[in-house]
Amino acid sequence: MRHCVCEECGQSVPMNKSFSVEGRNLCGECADASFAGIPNNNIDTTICFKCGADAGDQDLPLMASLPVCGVCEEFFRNRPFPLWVKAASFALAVIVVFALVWNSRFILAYTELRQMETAIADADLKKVESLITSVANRIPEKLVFKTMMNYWHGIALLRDDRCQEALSCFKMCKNSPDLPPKEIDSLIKNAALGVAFNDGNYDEFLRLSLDMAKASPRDAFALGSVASAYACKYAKEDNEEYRQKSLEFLEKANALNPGPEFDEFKMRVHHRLFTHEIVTANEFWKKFPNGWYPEKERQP
Amino acid sequence: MIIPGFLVSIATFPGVITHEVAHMLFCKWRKIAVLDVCFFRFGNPAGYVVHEQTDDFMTSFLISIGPFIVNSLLCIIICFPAYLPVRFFGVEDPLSYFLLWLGLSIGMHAFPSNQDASNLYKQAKIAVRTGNPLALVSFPLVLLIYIANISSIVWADLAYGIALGIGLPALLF
Repeated sequence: MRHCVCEECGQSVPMNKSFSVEGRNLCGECADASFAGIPNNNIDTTICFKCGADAGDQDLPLMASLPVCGVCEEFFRNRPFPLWVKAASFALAVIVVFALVWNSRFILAYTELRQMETAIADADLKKVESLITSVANRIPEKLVFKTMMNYWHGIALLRDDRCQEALSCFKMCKNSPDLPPKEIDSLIKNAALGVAFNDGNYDEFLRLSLDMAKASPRDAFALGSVASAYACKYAKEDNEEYRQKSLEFLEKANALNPGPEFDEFKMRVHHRLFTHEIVTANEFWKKFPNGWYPEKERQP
Repeated sequence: MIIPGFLVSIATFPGVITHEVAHMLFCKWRKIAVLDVCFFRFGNPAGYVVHEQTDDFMTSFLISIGPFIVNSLLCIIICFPAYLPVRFFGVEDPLSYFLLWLGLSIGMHAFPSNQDASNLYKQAKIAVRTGNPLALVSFPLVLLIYIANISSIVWADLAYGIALGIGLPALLF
């Protein structure tokens, strides 16, 4: 430790307890009494500013212009983070990892929704149905996915001619704000038609078909449905009027240029009118994988 | 809406702490002595790190910019798990909102302070004489820091946090 002599009172004081005022070294009391200027602390370079360790006459290395001993220098250079900072960082990491795991269902559901878009574009109904079911199960709190699940499940069932189950699915979608009511109503009518057909209730089938054709007079399949219903009535009751009506509606539908899918439908109606046989679409295609033509039927 | 800075600091205290941790982290990595540190306090500034000066410009640059790197990265990482449930699926759960608050608080304090910019400017002026390209880049960066800090009056810091924490995932999803 170094000492210096106060230039005012002559007292010897430790250097780091003395002050420099206007270039003069003064003790604390004299510095306080002085009005000459602002007193600055004198620094004793043999005393560590942090821990006060005395290096005798040896100057300590300076850090930011302040003397520090070896131990304190080591501390400043490798100052540890406080325990609470370490604990908070660890907790933060745990929360983020937990949130990632906890919310992984959203990431997976998002991926499935993207895959679903592709599956819809590819008309891969089975895949769409499986993906939306998975999304609905992952995010049960959002009713929209349950509605969409019922919607796509219903469409797949309708395609498989499981009209009764499809009807139940579509009824669950009714009044949902997430689907256009017109579309759901149309699907419900389609499924109800299928149910009536499958139950052999051809009067109901005809009634529903006529309703649908009235609502959508420019829809070839709605008109075709009436033709199909009259064909059923004809097949059962052998009333020529029904045959004529069936052909009339088939012609009206055909005039709308509905496309190749309608040609297959037309083939089935013609088969019904010709043979008086009522079969489902699946049965028809199983029986006539290459289609049915009246000329062939007439051959011996 | 103008809210006093200390209230903003209190509401977003994790960001203040992370900012100072980032400064200290870079000091430690670059072997710079940390003389004093305050991670959070009710005052102005809300936190600080006092460290020794260095002649190495890269070190000064990293210490000044450290919070920008660390806070920005953490903001993205923390907000990411909350984005899909809250923004995409509209599922409101407390964990997601907690993460968004945490992430945005940290993102808000990503900008280096004016003091950091001032330190960087002083060092860059010296380093540019030796033709240090990083020093040249630092001048517009210092200007940007000042502009960003001034703009925090109109919530530019919050806008930055939102852009990182919500805007970035919105581009991805």
